[in-house]
Amino acid sequence: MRILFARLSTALLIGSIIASLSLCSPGCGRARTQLKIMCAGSLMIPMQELEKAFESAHPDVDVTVEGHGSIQVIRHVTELGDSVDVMAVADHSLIPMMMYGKKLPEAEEYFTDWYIGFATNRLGLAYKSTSKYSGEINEGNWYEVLSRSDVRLGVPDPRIDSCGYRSLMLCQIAESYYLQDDIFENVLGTFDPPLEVYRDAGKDVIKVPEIIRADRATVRSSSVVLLGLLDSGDIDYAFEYESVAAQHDLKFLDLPADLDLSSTEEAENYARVRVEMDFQRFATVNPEFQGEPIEYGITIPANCPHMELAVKFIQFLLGPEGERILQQTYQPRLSPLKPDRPENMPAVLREALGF
Amino acid sequence: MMGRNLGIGSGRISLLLLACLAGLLCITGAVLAYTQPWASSAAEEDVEWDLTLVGSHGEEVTVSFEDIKSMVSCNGRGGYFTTAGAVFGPYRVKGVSVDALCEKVGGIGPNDILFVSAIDGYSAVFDRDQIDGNLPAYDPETIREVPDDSLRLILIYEQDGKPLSHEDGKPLRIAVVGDSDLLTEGLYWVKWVNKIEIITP
Repeated sequence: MRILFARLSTALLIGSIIASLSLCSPGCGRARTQLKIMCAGSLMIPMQELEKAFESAHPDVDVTVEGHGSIQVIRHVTELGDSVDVMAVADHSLIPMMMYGKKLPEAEEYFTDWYIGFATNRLGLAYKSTSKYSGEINEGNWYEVLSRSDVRLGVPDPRIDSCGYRSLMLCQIAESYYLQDDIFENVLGTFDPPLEVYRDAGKDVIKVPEIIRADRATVRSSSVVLLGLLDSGDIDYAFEYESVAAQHDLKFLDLPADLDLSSTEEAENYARVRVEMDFQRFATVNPEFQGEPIEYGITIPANCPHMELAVKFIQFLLGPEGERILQQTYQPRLSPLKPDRPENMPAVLREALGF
Repeated sequence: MMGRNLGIGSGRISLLLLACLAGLLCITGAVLAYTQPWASSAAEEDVEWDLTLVGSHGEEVTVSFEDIKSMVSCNGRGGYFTTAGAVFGPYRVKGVSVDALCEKVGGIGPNDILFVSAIDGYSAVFDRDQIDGNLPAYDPETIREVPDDSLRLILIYEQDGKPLSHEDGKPLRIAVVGDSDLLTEGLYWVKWVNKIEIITP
């Protein structure tokens, strides 16, 4: 009987301990510091690889990577109050537009007053070997192939996705490059209401209406959807970033640097086109986008919870290991890096990067 | 002897009883912890929220959250994914038909556009076709497009049997729902809705 009582007591005690442990919150007992990275969707795959590598080098750190559209990345910090350590966007100009001059709640400090342009990309056509005329399409005839009535083209929604409005820019610039003034409409088809293109002070302005209804092109909010449609064969081609096409094992048609928004030497050429939205999706974002070389920007918000770690992460990203990972994940790194207002950067970062 | 045995035995019995009590309390706590959400469930709290409806001729009506809940409700199933591919849902939702709401300010015409605005400055636009549910739907596992003609636009206040959490757009959110567990694009699922405006182009 005594032995039975002893065993019962022991069992109940063990049960109590186990039950007590189960009362712990999910974070109970976890000693690792959480480092939160928020990034543009096209950076997800490189950032996830960086996450693993950084955690290997820093076992006491738990990196979480969350992807959104670039504007949403910034809004999560400036308007929705999320605590984020590092932010990386696909359009560097959004950082000064939405964060410089915007003060932290009840503080004199700005959300940020610096960034580093660290990566680029090129715009082209993603497709598969089973896509119509895949054996025929090249940089000299792509616009003619896409205008064929049996070819299905996917385009990201220009109101939602930077890849979308950049695709419109590419098609408009192509008219000057190939000396044909109907490429824009032949490739993209017509829209109801129409996408108007007019000249203003020497620039081609593309006006995007509030509602997008395309008669030929398949317009979807993001490349995530277009990749699915390519995979299923529901479309033949999609305007896409080279890195994303490569990451998903798709064929990619290179287009001339005069068109693909990749070259700083062509900046003046790209600047001849501008996209204006009739619909202001975000109250704080001016819906006008200038043609310019694609540049990804990265910064640390002033109210980040782990400044020192955030600095280390950016150093890691921009160091040899990060460069290797970016290369492996087909994400072209800018060289040299392009700091904006380096005097405002954390001194450690500025000195480490030699700005 | 008995007294001495009782003395020693009662000590052990006390220890055993203490262990039982501790175990019972812990087990009860554990059961409660797993059956209750960590965030407090706002079962029937009072919600102060006004939704402004603006008709195509400028007529304006403000409805409270309680007004909306007293309308004929409709249900559906649906979820969404973000531009980065994160999937949310599918959920079982309850709310009111956007069409029924807009009847309060003259209704939505065949060529009208609906502007839905949120308290955080976000907006989305819908044309008549989209309000009628003519939107692409996707399989939650593969994010491949699948046809679905049961989709419709509703303004929800309940998700999986509970009021919306703040993260899910409390107290009102636009949802694209149907009869099966399909997803639609996240840009349509406007959170924290505070204004719906009908525009005739």
